[in-house]
Amino acid sequence: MTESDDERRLRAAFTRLREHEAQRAPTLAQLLARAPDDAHAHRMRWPRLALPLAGAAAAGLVWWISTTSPPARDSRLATGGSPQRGERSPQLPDGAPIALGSLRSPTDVLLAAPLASLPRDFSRSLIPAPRAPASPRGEHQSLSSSARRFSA
Amino acid sequence: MTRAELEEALAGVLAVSRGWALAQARWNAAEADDVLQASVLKVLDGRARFAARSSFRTFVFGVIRQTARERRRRTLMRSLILLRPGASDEAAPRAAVADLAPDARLGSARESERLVAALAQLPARQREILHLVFYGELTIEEAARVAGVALGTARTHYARGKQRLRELLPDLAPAGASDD
Repeated sequence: MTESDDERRLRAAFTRLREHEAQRAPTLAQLLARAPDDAHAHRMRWPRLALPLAGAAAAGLVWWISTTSPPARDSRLATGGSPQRGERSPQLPDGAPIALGSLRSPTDVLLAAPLASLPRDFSRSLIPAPRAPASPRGEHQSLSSSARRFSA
Repeated sequence: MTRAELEEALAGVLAVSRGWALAQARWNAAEADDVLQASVLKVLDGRARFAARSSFRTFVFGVIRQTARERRRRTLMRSLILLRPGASDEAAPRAAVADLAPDARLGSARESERLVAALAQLPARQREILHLVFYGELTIEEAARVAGVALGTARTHYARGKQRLRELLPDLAPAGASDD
């Protein structure tokens, strides 16, 4: 079979397929009058999924806040107010008071209370120690000590 | 182009465009009609503009291909998010043969069914190029533009796809054979 024969047969087969499919092809008017595709139905599914998710997230947040921090401390931290007379300042586990003035963002306020309720060692491990400025000399020393280890 | 001119031009390529939509939807008729409808609406309301850089048929085929890709991506994302396995891309064509017109299941029209089944076994690029050239009656250059590949790549897919179809359908009826 030559190449052109081959192509002719394929073209004929595709033509017959096209004729069969053309019998079912809608006209333009039918296509435009057709109900929109199922995209709308899919869009309608989203609220059904999103609502329970949002509800569960809100309930989880309320539960987390209510179980991880005492209400009095929370309310004071949330309002940013100073302790009233006779009321103890909020403290970290090691006894150091939380400086309310240092709480700048809502995230700081939200994090301060749970941190204070964590065990001492654990909460300290979460607070990063101030980092010393890196010096080229230090890097060099570190490199050379690594090199020594490698060569040993 | 005015809307009336667009409608007239669309009506002229609608049947062959539906075939291309069917190929893009792996011969799922309902999906193909959704794709075709969305593509026609894109052209008519100006979201897809015909700039006359190619033939109108090439332009419409490009819009259909893009629309089908968007829908596939959306379906995939939805099935991932909802943790629901979507319809298998490979299983669809075999099942979709049943979507051919009823008479396509009779007589020599069974050949159409075999052709669709054979096409389904080709890699997507080869299937696209062969469909565009033989069914859509585009040149290989136009097919390359629609498929978004270089001309040389399209030629390679065309040759390999043709070779593979020859192996899968060694007894194709010669040109001019009449339907039963």
